Amino acid sequence: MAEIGRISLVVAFVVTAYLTVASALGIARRQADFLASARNGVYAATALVTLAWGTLIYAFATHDFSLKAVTNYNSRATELAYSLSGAYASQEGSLLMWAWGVALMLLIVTLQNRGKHKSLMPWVTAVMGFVATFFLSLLTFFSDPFAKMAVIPPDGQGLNPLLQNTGMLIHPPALYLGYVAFTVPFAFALAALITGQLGDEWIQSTRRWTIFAWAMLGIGNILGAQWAYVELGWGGYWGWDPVENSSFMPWLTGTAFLHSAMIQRRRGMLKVWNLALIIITFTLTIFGTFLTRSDILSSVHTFGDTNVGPMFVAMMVLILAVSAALIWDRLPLLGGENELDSLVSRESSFLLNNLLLVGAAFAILWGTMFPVISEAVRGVKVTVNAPFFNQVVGPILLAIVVLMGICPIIGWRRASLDNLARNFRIPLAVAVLAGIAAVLFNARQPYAIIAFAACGFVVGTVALEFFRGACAQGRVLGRNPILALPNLVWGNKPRYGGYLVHLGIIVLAIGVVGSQGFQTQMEVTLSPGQETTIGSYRLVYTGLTSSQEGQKDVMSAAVTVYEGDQLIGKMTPSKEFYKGFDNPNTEVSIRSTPVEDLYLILNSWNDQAASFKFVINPLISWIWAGGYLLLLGAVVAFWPDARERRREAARIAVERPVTEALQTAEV
Amino acid sequence: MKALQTVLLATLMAASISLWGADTASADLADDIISELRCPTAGSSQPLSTADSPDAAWMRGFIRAKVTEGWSKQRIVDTLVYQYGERVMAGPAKQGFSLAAWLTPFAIIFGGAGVLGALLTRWLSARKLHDAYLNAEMARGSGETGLRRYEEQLLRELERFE
Repeated sequence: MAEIGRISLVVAFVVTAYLTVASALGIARRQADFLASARNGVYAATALVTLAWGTLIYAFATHDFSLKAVTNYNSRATELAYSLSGAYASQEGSLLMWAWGVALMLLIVTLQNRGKHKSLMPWVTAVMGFVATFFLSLLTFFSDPFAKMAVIPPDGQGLNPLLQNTGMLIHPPALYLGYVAFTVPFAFALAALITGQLGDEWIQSTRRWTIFAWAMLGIGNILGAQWAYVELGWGGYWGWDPVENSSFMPWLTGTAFLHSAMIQRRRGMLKVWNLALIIITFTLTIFGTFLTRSDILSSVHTFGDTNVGPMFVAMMVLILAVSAALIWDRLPLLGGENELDSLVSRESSFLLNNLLLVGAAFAILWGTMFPVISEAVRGVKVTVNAPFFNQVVGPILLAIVVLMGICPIIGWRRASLDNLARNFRIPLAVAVLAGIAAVLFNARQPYAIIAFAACGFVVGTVALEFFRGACAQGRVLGRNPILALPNLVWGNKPRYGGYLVHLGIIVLAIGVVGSQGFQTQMEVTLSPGQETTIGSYRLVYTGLTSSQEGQKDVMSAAVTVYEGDQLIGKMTPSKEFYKGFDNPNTEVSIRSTPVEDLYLILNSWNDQAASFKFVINPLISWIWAGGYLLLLGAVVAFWPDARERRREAARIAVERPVTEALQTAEV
Repeated sequence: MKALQTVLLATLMAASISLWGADTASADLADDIISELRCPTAGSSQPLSTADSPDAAWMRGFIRAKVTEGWSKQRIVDTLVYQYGERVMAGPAKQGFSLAAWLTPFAIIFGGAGVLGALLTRWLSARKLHDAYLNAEMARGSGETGLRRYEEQLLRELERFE
């Protein structure tokens, strides 16, 4: 069975290499049969990679220990769901998942654009084909997921218990979908550069791909944070680990791209910047996977010993070199559309937004790579951990939050300062109220108060936009504004979906400020019957029990929780010992309310005396709630919108003959 | 206009200055110091606050004891760095080459803002010249620019139509 997987992988590699060349040759020499052959190549390659991926998953599901990957990440006792997820737990398997993702996206793009974008599509195919070929070449020559064991063991090592969690079923696939989906706008950008068709065509066709990639990356990050919170048991959710950072950076630049693309679609500005931004975003996705598979920085995520690091460096260098050369060559075609009317305009506030987002991404990149830089320059390896990132990236993100409140109020083209001042009044009032509320709830540090006030400001802005829009819609429809809200949102999905996303980010930000700034913790050792208080809770430790569940031995502590005089219930933080794994798994016990989380960790014990760490995380559920709101907003923005389609069609219909006429005139 | 950008950048500066050395969750000085250090055991990459090793436990105890005795944060950190090396610090030192770690991102952002401001001002004045030229051309009824003018007018009207 595994032989089928290996063979289809190798054939897929050959086919993708072929379709890349065929597609490029076909369009360069205007030979339709090469293009048709390349398209067939896409279908064939997708089928083959899917077969390879399916074979690997099947091997995991059936505990085929003749494969190294299965032996290392699976055992007979592993449940089916975690057997399936074991397929992407290994370095080779995850590389295969990436390759499969690229092939799948290429297939969808091909099917979506049959008969459309006739001059761009062949180059899109060539670029995506090249990326797929790259990953498949790694799998064929360096990192074989179907590598065999010399001797077939009777049982495998099993999946690391840390990974046996529902979050782990979704987090890696979501993240990978996000990474891979950015290949599409990147391919379109390169195609636009190669063909010289640098109008809105490439950026318009990839709007929804970008939203999809951005949303998946965002959800992937939040799910990862949630997994860390629930599974790792240190009371936090984001450690600014190099691999966490490397999935945050493309999300930040992707956010910048989403916004500046809006400027290009509306005003025809920033063409070079948009191209550069999507190229940087895509390069950062490759960088992310490079960090996980190389040895240059240590992280909980790294795959350990791999040999593919240098290949990724070569790929990044190639992408950047080719893109830079193309942009340089096409520079004459990219200039000229100076449509800026005023410094007080949405355009310039978007530019500031871009500066801050890219600045934040740079700060994270700089901090992540600084240990390597410092070692190269001084020979001393310094560490750069959470305090650095909190202090450097924190203020930048805060400034972005403030900007999120300002941008929707400023009009396109030219906004009058009087108008602006008038529009600021209500949001500023909300900001002040939020700041006061924060102080009333015991916020004392200036940073936290400013942050809450900023969040209030944005909420005020977004609420005002919805209110004004709903009133206007209500007048048009002859209805109550509240009833007109669904019509409002559905009538302009990109815009109001965007506002929902902003709201989601603010909810998330409130959760972050609350949990970062106001966390209370205590470490205490208790004997059975002893109690302690933390926050408004009284915790009574009643004793330890040991049990056996399937493949693990569990030692759990029973803690009865009271809030004031009211009995809340019993919580059981525990430690789980899995056969074959040295370190026990910490299973924390969490009680969540919208106000705060009570988080109990069992650290160690001696006889019946147990050492605990108790944590109170205020507002942390707001982070997950913000994530859901963000996803909802992204879905709304993603949904096909008839009005948007009509507007863009009109714009392209006007633009294309004019551009072509002007280009012929110039020639 | 420029005032808006200045206000935003001032906010950013004020926030970053107020945050300098002030990312503490707790008012307790000992917790503050502990949160900025890492486990001293060779090969460990854990933060001091959660590390399990005997060295880490000793270090936490040392910090609490010295805080009670009245030592300053700088003196405690310097002593530990002298004993274990810079690797116990969870972040780069705020001096020497490591200062570049802290300053570079802000330098890039403020520098970028400066470049952006200059670019925008140049675009605006170029735009004013361009508009003046177009008006002159329009008065003469020139073909190509007349077409562009219609295009722009159409796009403006489409936007107003929203």
